[in-house]
Amino acid sequence: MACSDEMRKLIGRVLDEEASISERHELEEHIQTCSNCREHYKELLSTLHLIKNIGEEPVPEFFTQKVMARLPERRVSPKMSWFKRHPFIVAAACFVVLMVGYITSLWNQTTFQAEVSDENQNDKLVYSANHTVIVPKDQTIKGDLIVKDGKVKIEGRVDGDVVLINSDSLLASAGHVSGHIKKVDQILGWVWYHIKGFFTSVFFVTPDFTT
Amino acid sequence: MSDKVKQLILRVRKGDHDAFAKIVEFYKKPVYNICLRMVGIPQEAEDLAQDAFLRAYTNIDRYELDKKFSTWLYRIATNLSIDYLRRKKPAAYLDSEVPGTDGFTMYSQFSIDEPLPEERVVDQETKEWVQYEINQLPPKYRSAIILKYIEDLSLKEISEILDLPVPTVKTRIHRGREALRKRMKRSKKR
Ligand SMILES: [Zn+2]
Repeated sequence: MACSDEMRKLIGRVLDEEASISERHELEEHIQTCSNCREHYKELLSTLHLIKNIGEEPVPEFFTQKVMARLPERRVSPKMSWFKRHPFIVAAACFVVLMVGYITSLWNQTTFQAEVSDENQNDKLVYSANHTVIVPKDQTIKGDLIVKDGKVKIEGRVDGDVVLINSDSLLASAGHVSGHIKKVDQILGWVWYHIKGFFTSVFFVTPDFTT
Repeated sequence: MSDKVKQLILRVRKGDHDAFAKIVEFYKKPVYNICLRMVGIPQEAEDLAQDAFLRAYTNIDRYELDKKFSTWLYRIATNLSIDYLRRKKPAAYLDSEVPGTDGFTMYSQFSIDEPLPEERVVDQETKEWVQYEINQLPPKYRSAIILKYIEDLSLKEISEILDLPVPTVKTRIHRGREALRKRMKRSKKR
C-alpha cells in the first residue's frame, strides 16, 4: 500500500487532535475511496472509544481507614516533635524543675539545722539548748557554716563564711570569722546561696550573683 | 495546584494525620483506578494503591510544593504498578481466560459514519474484555495508554509521571493503541 505510511501519520495526527482542518478534510476524502485506511481508522476509533469508556471502578470499602491504619509512626505527635526540636529548652526546664525541687526539699527538711560545707568538720560543732550551735573556743571550722532557724555562738574560729538563715549569731569576743557573716531571712536569698554552691560544684565557676 | 491541597500537605508535614486522611479521600479514586488498570486484579490494585499512599506519606518532605501533587502521586502509583508487573510477570495474567464476550458485537456496533456516543455505558462483560486486552500490552505501553485515555491526562503530565520526554510518550501511545487495535481486531474475528 503506497498510501499507508503517509496516511498512518495523518490518522495519528487526527487522533491526537493535532491535525489542521484541511488535514482532517484530506483524511475524510481519502477514506471515502481507500477501504484499507478507512478500516484502519475505524478500528482505531473503536479501540479508543472502548478504552475511554471502560470507566472508573469504585474504590473498595474502608480504603482510607486501611491506609490510615498502616501509617508508620515515623511522625510523632506535634507536641513530641516540639520537644525534639527544642532540646535546650527542654533540658533547661528539667534543670529548673529539679533544682527547685531540690532546694525546696532542703528548705522544708528540718527547722533547726547547722552544717558546715565540708562535712568532715560537722563533728566539731557543739549543740546546746534553745537551738543553739556553738563553735568551741579551741576549734577552727574550715569551711562555711550554715545555720537555719537557730542561733550560733562562735567562740573559736571559722575559716569561711557564716550564713545565718532565720538565725542570729552571738559572736563572742574571742571568736573570729575569716569570711563574711551573711544573714538570709528569706527563701529567695537562701536559694541564691544554694544556687551559687550548685554552680560551683557542677560547673566549677562561681557566678557573680549579689545576695 | 490548589491552595487547599497545599495547606493539607503542609499540615501533613507537621504530623497531622487527619490532613493526610483528607488527601487519601480526595485522590483514592484515580490512584486506585490507575493501579487497577495497570495490573488488572482488584485485590492487587487495592494493595498497590495503599502502598502508593503510604509511600507518599513517608516521602511527603520530598514533594516539591510548586509542582502538581497529583502528578507526583500518580508517578508513585504507576512506578509501584510497573514494579509489581515486573515481579509477577508470569503468574499475574497468564492463566486468566479471555472473557467470554464476543468482541464482534461490541466492535461492529460502531460505524464510522455516525459520531461515537460519548456517554455510552459499557457493560461489565465488555469492560472485562477491554481490561483483558490492556493486560496483554507491555507495561511501558500500558502505562501511557491508561494515563492518556482512561485518566485523560495531558502529554506533559504523562511525561512527568513516566519521567520520559513528550515525544517518547507520544510514540508509546501510538504503539500502544496500534497494538490494541490489532489484538481487538483479532478477537473481533474470533
Ligand atoms: Zn489509504
